[in-house]
Amino acid sequence: MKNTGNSDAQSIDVNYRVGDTLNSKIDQIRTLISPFLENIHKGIPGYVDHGVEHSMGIINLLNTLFEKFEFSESEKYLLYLSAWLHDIGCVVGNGHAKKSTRILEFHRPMFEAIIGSRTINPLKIIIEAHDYSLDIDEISEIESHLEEKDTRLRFISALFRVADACHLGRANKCLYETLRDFKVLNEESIVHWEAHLSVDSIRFEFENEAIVINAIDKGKVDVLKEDIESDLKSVVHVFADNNFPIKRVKVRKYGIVDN
Amino acid sequence: MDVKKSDLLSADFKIAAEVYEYNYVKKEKVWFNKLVKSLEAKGGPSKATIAKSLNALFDWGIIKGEYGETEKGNAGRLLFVTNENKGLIRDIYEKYWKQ
Repeated sequence: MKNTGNSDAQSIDVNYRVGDTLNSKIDQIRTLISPFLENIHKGIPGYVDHGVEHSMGIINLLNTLFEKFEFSESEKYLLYLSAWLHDIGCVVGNGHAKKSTRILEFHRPMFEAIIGSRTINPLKIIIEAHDYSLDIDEISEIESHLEEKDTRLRFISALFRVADACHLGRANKCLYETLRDFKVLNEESIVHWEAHLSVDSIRFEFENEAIVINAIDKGKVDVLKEDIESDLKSVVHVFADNNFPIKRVKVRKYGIVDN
Repeated sequence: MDVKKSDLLSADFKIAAEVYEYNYVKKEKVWFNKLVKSLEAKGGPSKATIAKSLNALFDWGIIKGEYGETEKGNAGRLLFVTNENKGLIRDIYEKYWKQ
């Protein structure tokens, strides 16, 4: 995946595994909502990372999954759009999934002009499901009314919930040390910052049926493991229904094969 | 049927890309009527659509207007891609609009 990281602004040079038409729509949406993502309050002293990097991190992760499993064009398209749009509500505060969908509705004509009216409803479902604003098991009923029959809406909503949780380990150590030095952080936030700093990478290992966190310091990532486990527990039955072999979360010492 | 890359863009982004081209490629001033003629020559959106789109692009912070002299020396509202969107609109232009 290319990311040129231009100095004057972000680049849209992200590799989407969809055709040109859908690719162009995602590019335009990303351009449109970037100011929302860039203006999300960072939440210091807490560790919260909503923004362009987080969205791109989810897209990276989705692309690794798309290499290994068959997803329809419309499923990939909805997942990519969700990666960009799911957190735009954070710009107005907590309870962001409902706020994100409210923003979609508020500016519906603009979004519809780019992605079409038929995409907005399934997109809202994925976004609301990602932070439990919508129960995953309620989606089955909605799914049966969808026009696109090649979209496993309940499954991709479940997948997105977990993918969102799995974008870890992108903390800035110098920033962290500065915040500690100025005594800005509290005990709880230190635990989260140190957890993210301890993550080297995260992978879906299908042969082990596990999400594996490769950690520099295994002991510090428990809080992140618990968060992902909680999200995974809420959807593992959906994964099983769809033959998606991920059942558990493991932590591995970075650089050591440790089963 | 081959689809031109430019056809993949919404009207709003066609207009943004055209403004970008004037700002950074041709390095010429552009204002509403000049933009309309330019897009008309490319088979682009109608004058009414351009007016409506520009309002949306202003609202979304993608385009800004600054009062200045047009090429004919008259006072006019010159159009610019905003700095914060320059990189992204550049990429849209390069990928879909550049001929």
